[in-house]
Amino acid sequence: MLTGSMRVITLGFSCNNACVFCAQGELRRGAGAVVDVAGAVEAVVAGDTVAFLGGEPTLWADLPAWIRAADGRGAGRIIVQTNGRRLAYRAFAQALREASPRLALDVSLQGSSAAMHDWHTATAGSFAQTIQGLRNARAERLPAGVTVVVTRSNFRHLGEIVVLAHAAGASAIHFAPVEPFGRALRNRSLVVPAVEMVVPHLQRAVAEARRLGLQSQIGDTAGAGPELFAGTGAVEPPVAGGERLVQEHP
Amino acid sequence: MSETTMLYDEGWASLELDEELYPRDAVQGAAYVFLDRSYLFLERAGDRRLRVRLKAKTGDSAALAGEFENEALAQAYRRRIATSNRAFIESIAARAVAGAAGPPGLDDLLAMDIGAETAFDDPLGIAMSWEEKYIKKKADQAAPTATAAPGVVPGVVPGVVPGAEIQDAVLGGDQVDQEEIKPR
Repeated sequence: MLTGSMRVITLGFSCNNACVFCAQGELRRGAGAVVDVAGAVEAVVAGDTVAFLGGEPTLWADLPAWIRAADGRGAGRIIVQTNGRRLAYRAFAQALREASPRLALDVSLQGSSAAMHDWHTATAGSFAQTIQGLRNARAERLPAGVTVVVTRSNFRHLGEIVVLAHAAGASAIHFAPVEPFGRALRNRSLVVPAVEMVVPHLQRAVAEARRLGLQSQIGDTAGAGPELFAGTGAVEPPVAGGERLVQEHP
Repeated sequence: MSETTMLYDEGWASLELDEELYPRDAVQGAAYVFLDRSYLFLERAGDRRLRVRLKAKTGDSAALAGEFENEALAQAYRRRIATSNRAFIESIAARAVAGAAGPPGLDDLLAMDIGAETAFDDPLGIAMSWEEKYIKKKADQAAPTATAAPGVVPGVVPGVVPGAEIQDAVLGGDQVDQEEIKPR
């Protein structure tokens, strides 16, 4: 699928996290989720930005081979949108780095502490693995940006998340709104913050990012801002009246 | 040949047992069972033969000697079963000990070799879907693994409705207010 200047290859919706705001919702059951990945890679033309999205792309053992194939087709930039947990294995991070020098990671980080992050992902230990994954990416000189979905349970800590992302090796940060689909829609009273409460924290976080030299981006990403972010990708089919749950900061 | 003899001498019963049929470990096991009910002496009666002398603390030594023979047979049979299942038992015990120790932690990863040969090792169980790892009651329905060929969704368990189960797992089935989820 070509979205703007970005060629998105969705690898199905299976994931090792179970985020409380997951816009893919029931899509993770899998029906009709997987495209012909080899065919999609064959369609890449020189200069394309290629984004591998899931689910969680790193669950696929063939991922390094697909990255290598996209690189061989002349992709200008290859982005893997990931929770970064599998990169906690340094050898896996190395395998990704060796697959293409044009690879970058869009890593989801949902908290500044294990309690905060693991609550969002519903997966104990995921915070430690994601942070280790970012560190390994840095050690392998893999460019990485961090995407944080702004929720009721982390908006007060956005500044701390910026500091943590920077310390772990990220070079950019993306503040994403909760998308009104899937589990996010069903849990909206649990995860959606009040915009007027978010804004001052977001402003401080952006200022903190600037101070640390991180690029920052708010809201939709495809084709805009730092070339590290892949956007939302596929979502559970919308319902009538679904609106954006957090307004973009002007 | 097993030859059991009973000699009665001031309340003592004496049994001679063939070690081919009643291995020494089995006889000692039987003796242990009878310690609270009798006085016992074990001695060698000849080549590959054991003698057991037994005197009941109360009651009839002859009847107790018969029970002793039965117990020795049972012990011998259990010993045979234990021997033939030894590898299986050790395997289960090893898994139980390893399970009690828990999965390796992040620190253990530092000891892993870094190279192509270990790139897909997964001692922490990261590279499997959430449903595959946490919805154990459905695990037997065996999803394809994450390394399945394109066209097959990794970790999808037929019949599982992750939304509901995950929501229960995450939220405990209750609506949780933001203030109840205070991060550390």
